[in-house]
Amino acid sequence: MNRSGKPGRALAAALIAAATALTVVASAGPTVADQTTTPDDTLATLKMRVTHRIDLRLAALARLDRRLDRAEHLTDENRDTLSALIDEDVAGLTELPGKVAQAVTREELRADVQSMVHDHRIFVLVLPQVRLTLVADRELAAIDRLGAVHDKLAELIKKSEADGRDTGNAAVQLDAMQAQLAAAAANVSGQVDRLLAIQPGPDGPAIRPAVDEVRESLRAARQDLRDAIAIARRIRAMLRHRAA
Amino acid sequence: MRRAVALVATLAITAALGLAGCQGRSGDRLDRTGQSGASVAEPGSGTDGSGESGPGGSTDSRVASVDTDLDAVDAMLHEIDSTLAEDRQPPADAD
Repeated sequence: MNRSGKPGRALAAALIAAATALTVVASAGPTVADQTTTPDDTLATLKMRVTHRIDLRLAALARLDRRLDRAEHLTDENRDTLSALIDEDVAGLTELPGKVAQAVTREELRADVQSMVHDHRIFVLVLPQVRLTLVADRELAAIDRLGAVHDKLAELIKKSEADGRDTGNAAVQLDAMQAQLAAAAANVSGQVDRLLAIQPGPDGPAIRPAVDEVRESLRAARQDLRDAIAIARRIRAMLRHRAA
Repeated sequence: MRRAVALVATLAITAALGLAGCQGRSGDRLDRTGQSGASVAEPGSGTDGSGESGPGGSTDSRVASVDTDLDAVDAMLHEIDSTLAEDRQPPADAD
């Protein structure tokens, strides 16, 4: 689980490449065998479809891994956690095409499919876990930056008042901005922990709403930030106008 | 006699009108005093242009610094929007 940093990334890249190669090998046979219609070939067709689905997952994980490399506002802790999560899924999915290739019955193949879906939940869980963690950390960075803006605006208002200038309702607006920032912080708080605590498993209908709740909180925080920045712009315009 | 009465009456009316006029002007003066109160504030803003342009410029730079921060936050919100939009797209093979 604790496979963070560049060596882990290199291993992940190697595993992804190996899995892709295995998929190609596993896919080559069934593609040729599709031209006949024996029961064995039907199983081969199913195997080809399964390996294709594994491929899709590995490709998605590779994209997520690159996203983590580029992410600017991701905390080190979350980056390590997500890297480990991706590495673990890549390792598990990389082994799967070999098992699929060895399956001789539909039941064995069905077990591989269940493992691919239930043990990893790449699309309904891992993708949102990475994306929404990126969103949450960006929102926290935006809250920090807007907190600094709030303090600068408070200083400007104070100075304007000391100079005898009319600042209108800038102080009231500043309080409203502070309230929006507090609301945003409350909406983001604890969401990444909740999100990363969700485990893959057979109960797909339980996973989706748990992820949706986090998503909605982060959307609400995004709106709070939009409101806060709009208020900040109004205060700034007010101070500039009255100073002119 | 009638002329004298008429003259006195005219003088009285003129005096009354004149007094009323003075009161009106004094009212104007009060208004102007009020306006001059406002113009007392103008030198305040005028000082920015005359002697205290330094602090005024400093305020401008602080406002500019706020603008830079707000632009940076705007960029962050844009990234957040695009990530959320991407997250909303149903995956091709969702399970």
